[in-house]
Amino acid sequence: MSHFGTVAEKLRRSTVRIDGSGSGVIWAPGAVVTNAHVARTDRAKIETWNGRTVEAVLEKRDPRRDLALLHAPCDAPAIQPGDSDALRAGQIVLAVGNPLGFVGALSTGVIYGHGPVRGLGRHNWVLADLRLAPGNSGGPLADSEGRLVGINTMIAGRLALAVPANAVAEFLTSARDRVMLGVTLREIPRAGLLILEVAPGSPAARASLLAGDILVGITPGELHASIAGSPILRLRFTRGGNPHIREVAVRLRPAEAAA
Amino acid sequence: MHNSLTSLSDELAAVVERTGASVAAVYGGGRMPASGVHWKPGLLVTAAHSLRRDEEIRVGLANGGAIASQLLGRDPGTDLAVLKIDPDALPALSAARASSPRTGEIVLAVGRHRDIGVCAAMGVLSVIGPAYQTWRGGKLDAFLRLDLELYPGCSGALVVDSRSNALGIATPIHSRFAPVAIPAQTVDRVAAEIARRGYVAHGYLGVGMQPVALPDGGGLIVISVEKNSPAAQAGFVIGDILIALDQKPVRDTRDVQMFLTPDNIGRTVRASLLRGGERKELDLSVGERNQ
Repeated sequence: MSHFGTVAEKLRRSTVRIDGSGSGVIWAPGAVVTNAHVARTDRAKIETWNGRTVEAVLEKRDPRRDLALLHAPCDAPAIQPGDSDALRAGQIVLAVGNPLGFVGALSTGVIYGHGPVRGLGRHNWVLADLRLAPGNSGGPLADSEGRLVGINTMIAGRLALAVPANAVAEFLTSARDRVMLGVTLREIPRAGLLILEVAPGSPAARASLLAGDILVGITPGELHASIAGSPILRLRFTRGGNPHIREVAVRLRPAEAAA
Repeated sequence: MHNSLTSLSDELAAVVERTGASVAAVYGGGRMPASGVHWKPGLLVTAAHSLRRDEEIRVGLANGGAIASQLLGRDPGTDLAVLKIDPDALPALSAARASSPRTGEIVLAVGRHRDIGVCAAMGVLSVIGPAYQTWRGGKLDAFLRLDLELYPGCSGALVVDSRSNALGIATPIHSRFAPVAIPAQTVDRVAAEIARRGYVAHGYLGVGMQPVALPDGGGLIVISVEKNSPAAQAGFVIGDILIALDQKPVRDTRDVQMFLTPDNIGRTVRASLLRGGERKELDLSVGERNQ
């Protein structure tokens, strides 16, 4: 017979403490998933269940989905993956983490629901009737068999919100060949898209786009389609009132992503 | 691997699926929508406090759509409101009533949310007490305090035990410490009352009373009698001490309040009182309080 204690102990072995306060989940050997708001820097100190401390390197980070992947050389067991789309309201869930400095603390509860939350974008969330506290962030939300169904991320009105495990899988795979230009845009009516910021090292920076350039003759919808469809994007923009055309390679290769 | 925790988990999720089919979202104009239960065919019961208007209250269904409803009435005393809906829009509650709830047993509050569909919170039944009167003046047939979190949108949620039996309807407003379940028996009674006449009637006597101590217990001394009221017509005068109604002793004004249920309206009851040190019996016909 298994109960909360057995399942919790299994979860603890795949849960790590990040920089003393946050939590993380060992997704695969050497790969730790946590919240982007926990992994804010390029390097982090990770402590596994048996007290071993290793240095981890940030591999990728998506602040919008609040997820981050760290590479950490440790031999703690990977968590068993679960299917967050199959969750049912009322089923039992467990959370393990390091809330308020308590290492490996367990909370139990049930699934409240699964879906979008008003004010938090279009993404789906796993909502749980379960008590979390700061320090649970990045840690596992698991079903009664110890399978990961979500990454505990925030508390809204005492309800626990977790990023669905399926969204984590998506984050890990899609980010491999993620397409990006590396600019922050603002739509200026009747003029175009004003570049507010160019991310250092991004395709836009390599094509020597500058803040203040105005992308023209292209609407946001078309921009999206062409980025998704073609690795090379032809951009028409005005700089100081003069028209320019430049071709930009927008596809990032895995090697570049990790660099 | 299949463990006992998973069996329990599966059972709880099945309870939510089974009973949640009869739970709807209720858009009553408040900041937060509420939940409501298709209690009897065509009658959807929700928490009265969550309705901020009397018209255009829409009812959200499992398929994401919403249907119109008509407010039949509300009873602030118990915090129940009844909406008339198309009986075929969602299945009516078929769950049995929980016959003998036990303190400490697992309960679920099953609600419905606009964006996420059916939702559930789990806890235990933390206190079971006798029938009582709420501070809003409604009579609840039992005090069922819930040790669970009633999240926004879950006022009016269905409270069920782990065998899918209905305990009642959840509301946060009757206790400062924790939500309570309005017992199924009370919901049956109040829903029938509202469906019949649009409100819950309260009995009326027309006396002001206060408790006094007597050598053999206590009673209620009459300190005012309203003109032409049932009490005046029965012959009550100031200074009478009421000691029993229908042979049942009264010690507190609450005992009289509990007596003034709708089914006693229009009945003539035997009032036992002390006047000038002597016992006297009066025939008292219970009136109805103005709405």
